[in-house]
Amino acid sequence: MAEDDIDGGARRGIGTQLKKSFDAPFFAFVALAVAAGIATWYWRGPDAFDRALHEAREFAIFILPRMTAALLIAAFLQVLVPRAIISRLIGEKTGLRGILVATLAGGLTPGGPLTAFPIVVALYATGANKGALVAYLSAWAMFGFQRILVWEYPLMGGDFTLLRVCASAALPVMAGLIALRLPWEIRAPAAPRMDRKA
Amino acid sequence: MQAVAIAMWVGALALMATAWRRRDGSTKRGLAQTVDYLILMLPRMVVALMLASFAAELIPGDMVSRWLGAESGFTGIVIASVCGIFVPAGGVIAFPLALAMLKVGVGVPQLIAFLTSWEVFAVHRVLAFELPMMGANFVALRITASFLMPPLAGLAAAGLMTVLPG
Repeated sequence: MAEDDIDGGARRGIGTQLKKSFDAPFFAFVALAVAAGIATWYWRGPDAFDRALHEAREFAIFILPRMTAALLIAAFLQVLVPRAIISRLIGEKTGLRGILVATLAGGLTPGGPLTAFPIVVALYATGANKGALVAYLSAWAMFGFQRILVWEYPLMGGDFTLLRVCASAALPVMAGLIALRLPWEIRAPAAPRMDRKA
Repeated sequence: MQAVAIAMWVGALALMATAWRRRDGSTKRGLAQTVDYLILMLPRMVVALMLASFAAELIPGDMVSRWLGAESGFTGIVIASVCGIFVPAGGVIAFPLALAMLKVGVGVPQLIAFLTSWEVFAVHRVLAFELPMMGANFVALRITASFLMPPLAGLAAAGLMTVLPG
């Protein structure tokens, strides 16, 4: 949802952006929240309903300045760091070193799937090994800094975020190493492989 | 927590200064992108927070904490890992859900297993992006290579928590 369409791309007018923002999934989401609100009132009573609204407001006040900073960082990084640089970093590497670089690059990739998957396809097309591709995608999914800044840190707090990242730091590398040893050949519909040296 | 917020603002201002020094329209594009993000995220954030607060009132706390509380141990980690697979949504749903779970007493290692599972397997992302762009072989390869990651993350978190108190 939000995460899937948070990527930049060409700048459109405010009107288009508003239309994109208030799309069908958003209203489905609103309906879900309204249903949860009614259910809370009905089963848990008006006190619980008030308590929930109060808590949501407190959280919003806490999150707003943090979220604004996070979105500024995400937007300016996307403008300042061209995709090509990330692609070049893991493009031709192989083995463990490529996996380590890919893990780091995955964590540093801003944006949602609309940013990450074109990079994966580009890496594949330029000859990255399959371990690096798996490590890159896992690291982006688990440690993508944008998701951490926008969602995890404001909602779950610094201690939780730090603990989770430390507990799983080695996992993308492991997944990459396992993937290297698995027999499947990747055949990506989105791009023909340019060379086959991996 | 305050310190991290300040660090984020320092980072944001440093990036804006870098863009300004380039004098090639980067500042304008960056700000325009930020406005786009804000328009997209603010309404969702408001709804997400309300949903999370209502969910915390609605979730039967005693049942959930029996199954997934800190006492549930490895079994809880496995259950949480399996649950995470079936969250077909982005961070806008998953994190408020995680927050509600934390409030009703789900253990931290169990919650980390849940989040990792959602991050790694994200059904909606596999169907919308991975399968059409990278093909079935890649999906099979990646899932085989990573299906142990959620329980491992949960176990590592439990281990770290015993080593580092607080």
